[in-house]
Amino acid sequence: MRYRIPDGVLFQTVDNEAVVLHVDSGHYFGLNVVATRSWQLLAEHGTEEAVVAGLVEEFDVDETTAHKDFAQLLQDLLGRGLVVPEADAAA
Amino acid sequence: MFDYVLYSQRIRSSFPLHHVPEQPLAPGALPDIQVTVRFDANVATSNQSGWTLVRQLEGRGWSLRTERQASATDSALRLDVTSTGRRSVVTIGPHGSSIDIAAQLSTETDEAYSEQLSGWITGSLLAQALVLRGHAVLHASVVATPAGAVAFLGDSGHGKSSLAAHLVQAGYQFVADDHLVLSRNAAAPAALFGPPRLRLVADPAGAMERARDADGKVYVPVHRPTERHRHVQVAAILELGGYLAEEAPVYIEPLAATAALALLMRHRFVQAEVYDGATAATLRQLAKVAADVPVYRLHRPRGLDRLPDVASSIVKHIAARGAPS
Repeated sequence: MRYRIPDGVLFQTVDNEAVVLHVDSGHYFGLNVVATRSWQLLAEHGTEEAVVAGLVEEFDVDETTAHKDFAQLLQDLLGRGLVVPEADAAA
Repeated sequence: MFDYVLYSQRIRSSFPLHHVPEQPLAPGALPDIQVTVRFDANVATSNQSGWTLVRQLEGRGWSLRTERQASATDSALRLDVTSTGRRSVVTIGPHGSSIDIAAQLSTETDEAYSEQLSGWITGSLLAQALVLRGHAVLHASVVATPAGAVAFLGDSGHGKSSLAAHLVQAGYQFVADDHLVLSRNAAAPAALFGPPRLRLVADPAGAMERARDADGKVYVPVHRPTERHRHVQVAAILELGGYLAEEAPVYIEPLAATAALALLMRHRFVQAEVYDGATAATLRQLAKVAADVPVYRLHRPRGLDRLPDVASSIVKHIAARGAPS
């Protein structure tokens, strides 16, 4: 499954962390350092596998933990409309 | 024509602005913002062609419709406002270079309306023009302390003007009321000087003859020397939230940068996407503010008699951090 950031979602880093803003709803979502890097990897590569591989390489974390943590973050982002499956991105 | 300097902008107005000292432009100099006021018994209905609705608000006795020009490059705004039965149509020109007001009025000698109109121009309309000029504008009152400018963020009625008024009375320099306009040119986040007047809750005994805004506030002039500095570096930003009990101590809660950025975005004076990329541009500007300037949430006790204690705690806290580098 591929994912992408829909139009109207803005991402801004500040002090190694980030804020994601859904322009239409006006909702903000804060990302810690790992979540910020996860977002950047997802925006760049579009797949869960690539994000997990990137996290394992860059942080002191095993694949199982990285997968579990990112799956939780992804569900949160999907639920808030900050990330969408690629097929739905144009909708 | 009347010339002024507000928020470091040279303003030429066909209408005299109350409480703002005139500062004639140098011969041959062009204004940054031209303000034109035309009084008309019948203000024309907006022509919808080429304009897109961005916001429509209504309250008791007033309505505001904001439209933007469809063209993304030459951003312009049009406001159709009805207040206390009078209608005005305002066009803020491309890049905020002009503010044209067609105001419904039977006579120009209505002093109360004249003050209201002046306050509107130097307040909300100028702030919106500055947004089109690329400035980040927050809903805040600002006072300069020896450590730098301190801005009080808050929704209407949360006491930011009262706190600023108290600090000015205590000898600190007034910078701006209702709008923190950030410089576009300063190396570090810096506040520009606004009109030298505060909007305060009307004193019922003394304000019977004064012009009141829709929220019941009146304009009170503030002494300020003619603008000597172009801006003052921002030392701290405090959000005024709800009140604590009267006997509670003042608590100044520091916010992490991401929380600060979300908070600053929530206090933008203009929330709508008034030109393509406006929100993204402001997000970038405010991220720098959140990274460079400490942002706090102020928890303060209720009661006017605790105001000196609140003000003193803020000044001590800012001074302890030292002047911004």
